[in-house]
Amino acid sequence: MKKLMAMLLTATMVAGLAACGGSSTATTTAAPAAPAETQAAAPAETQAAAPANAGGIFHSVEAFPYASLDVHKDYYSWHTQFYGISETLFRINEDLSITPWLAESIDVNDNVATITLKDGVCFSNGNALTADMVKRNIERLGTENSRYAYMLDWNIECPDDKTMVVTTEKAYPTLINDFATAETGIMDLDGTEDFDKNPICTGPFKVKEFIPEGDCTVERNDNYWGGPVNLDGAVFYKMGDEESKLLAMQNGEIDGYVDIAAASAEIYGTDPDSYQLFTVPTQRRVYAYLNQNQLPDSVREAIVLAIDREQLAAYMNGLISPATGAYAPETPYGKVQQPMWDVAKAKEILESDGYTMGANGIYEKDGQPLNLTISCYAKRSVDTVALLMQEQLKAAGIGIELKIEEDPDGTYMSSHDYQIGMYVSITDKTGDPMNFLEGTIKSGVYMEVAGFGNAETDAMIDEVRYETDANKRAEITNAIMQKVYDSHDMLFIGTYNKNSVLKAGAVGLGVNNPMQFYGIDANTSL
Amino acid sequence: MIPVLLILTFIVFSLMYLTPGDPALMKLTSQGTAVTDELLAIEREKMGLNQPFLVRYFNWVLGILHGDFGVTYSDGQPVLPKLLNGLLYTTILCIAATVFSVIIAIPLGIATAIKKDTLFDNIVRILTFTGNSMPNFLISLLLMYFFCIKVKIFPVIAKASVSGLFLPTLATSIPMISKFARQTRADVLGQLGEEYVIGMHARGVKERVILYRNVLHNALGAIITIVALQIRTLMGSQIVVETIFRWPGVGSLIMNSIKARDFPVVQGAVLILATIQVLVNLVTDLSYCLIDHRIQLE
Repeated sequence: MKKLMAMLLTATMVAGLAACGGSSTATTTAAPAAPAETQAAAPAETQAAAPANAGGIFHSVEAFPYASLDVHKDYYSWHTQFYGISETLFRINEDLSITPWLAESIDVNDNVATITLKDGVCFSNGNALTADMVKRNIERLGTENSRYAYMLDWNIECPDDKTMVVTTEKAYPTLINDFATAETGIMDLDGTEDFDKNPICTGPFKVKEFIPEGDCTVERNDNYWGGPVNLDGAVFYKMGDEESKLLAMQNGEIDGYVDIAAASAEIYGTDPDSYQLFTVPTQRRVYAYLNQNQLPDSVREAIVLAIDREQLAAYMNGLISPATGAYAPETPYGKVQQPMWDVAKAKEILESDGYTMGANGIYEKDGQPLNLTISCYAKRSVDTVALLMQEQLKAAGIGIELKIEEDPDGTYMSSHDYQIGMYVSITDKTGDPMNFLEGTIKSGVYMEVAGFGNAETDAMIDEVRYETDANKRAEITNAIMQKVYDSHDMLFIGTYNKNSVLKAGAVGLGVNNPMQFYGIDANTSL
Repeated sequence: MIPVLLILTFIVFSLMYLTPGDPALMKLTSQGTAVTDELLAIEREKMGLNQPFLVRYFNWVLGILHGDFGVTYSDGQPVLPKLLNGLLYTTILCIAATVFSVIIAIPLGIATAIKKDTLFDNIVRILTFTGNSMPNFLISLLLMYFFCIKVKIFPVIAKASVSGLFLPTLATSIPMISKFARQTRADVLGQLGEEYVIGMHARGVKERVILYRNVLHNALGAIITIVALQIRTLMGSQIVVETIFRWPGVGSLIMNSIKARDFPVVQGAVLILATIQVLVNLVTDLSYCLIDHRIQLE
């Protein structure tokens, strides 16, 4: 169909140009490539406790425009929670552990979870938070956001104002993780008049002014249930240009921001008296699919061994840290990892499979040089990672040609017509392995494009889905990932870092939390 | 004009259709989380991506004929108000920059033509060559550094206000002034060498009269052409200046929409910008008749 369309389009353009004659109108839409992101390594620092009620307005910037503050739609809650407007029943801590936030406790018994809400929690308009309001929020989220439509299948009852009982069809061990994601933030559905511009929530700040796709100004919520709030408010300017952010920071117009570029970090680093730099690894990882339908096992294994993640991360100047697995090795389900760099072994594997070193330093077999293609896209510096991989693989005797694809969503791999395909995704969204297993490893899912999926691991993934024992879940996940690593179908390369800067003396902005939706809170101060 | 726009709608829609990438997948994974096939299918259905090409195309064109440009894929908001809001700001910037450039460049061009090969002419030549060859991101950052950091007249974080308009106008104008001044100089010099000018000089007509009533009048056609060309280019190419100075124009909206494969926004923007270009062409052609009576409408 698309080929037919291309032919039709060409014919139409020719006809159109002929019809327009000499007075044809040329339309050009300028679309410069996005600048490569590179961010600097900076030592993580521990922040001092904030002084109480210090006041002041915190000024910061955000790069990406968005049209709404509706907590339940799309990913807008990542902003509302970052701004200290919305809060969830549970929260993910810096060590990825989950603790109650608006909730007091959770009691899980097979497929029934009883959640008790904290006493004294109220919205910024003074209305008390009730279990029924939480229930209605979950129902609204399921309706408004297709990623959470499955919540509509839950049976939720509220025996009293502070207790909510969630019954699922089968045991649902990630319920607490779901209630820790920003999208499950709670709004006062009765008190909110404009969900897009002024959601009424429970956080330490409330919306003062929001310009869709522009700036957002928040002010202190004097009814905050969690105690005194230090700041009077905050302003988040939309600013896409990195150099402008640097100048604004140097000019004292902003007090800090996250996702700083490497070049800016270097400049901030030269003045430690004025700026504090923070780096924390996120759960966003860059990895490569090694297509088993196009690459023999020996070549895939050699590729895995030929990549020096440490060196690659050093080149990336703080943007990424080395990663040898889908999950952080500190987590119970990240205990198995891929083997580290070993070029000698990589060459040995290729040679034992019949490859011989050619005159130009590239292995050959049956007279054919081992020249492969890496498909990648120019977003989040994936193309730079691919370029560095090209150099490292060449050193191991594997010739690489880079193919830059237009789309950053991995569609180019869905036809399975690639050899090495680069991709970036969050592998651990809520401190649990399930999302990545179900969305990437399970057979038949959209991003299972390397040919790994099989009935055995599918059954194991289903087991993880319903297993409530955390240790057992981790054990099964480690077993699944061991199979993935043994198949050499995926090569995990790096973990993206969250690099932030704060002016000297400022505290907060979630700089030490690996999750990107934690920003200012009651303790943030200037 | 209408056939041109109709053909354009087909070309734009087809290009968007052929562009690699799945808008539904990009929307669901915009923060990098994995999605299931079932969810993807639901989202595609909701966004109308499962419909055949021609059905989607005709629905879109019919909607436009009724003033409905559809809703964005990214947030479900109507496309037209977004585009009009962005276009308003881009138009303000373009008009301000063009007016400012013309006011500076034409007298400068005339002066350098009259004082050809003098020190003044040589200095202006160097400045205009420099202004013409510098990329606008560099001009923007230099202006920001000077006015915001050194002199501190303006804040780095500007607002979409009159004072916030100054720096983006200046950044846009510098290359334009350079182009217009060079063009004016060349056209005026060309006219000054014409026989009618020599004849008027011989008849003792005052220099000022020759210059402003005849030479400039005759040179205006070429100047208008380059100004019109520049306006057409400006409308769709302000992304860098708008991004650096946080000017909420249509450039950054288009850029973000292309990245997100938000086809309804890109299609609507291209269509509106193309319509504006066709209208600018029309106005330019009409202005030739008003300025030079030798040119008649047919």
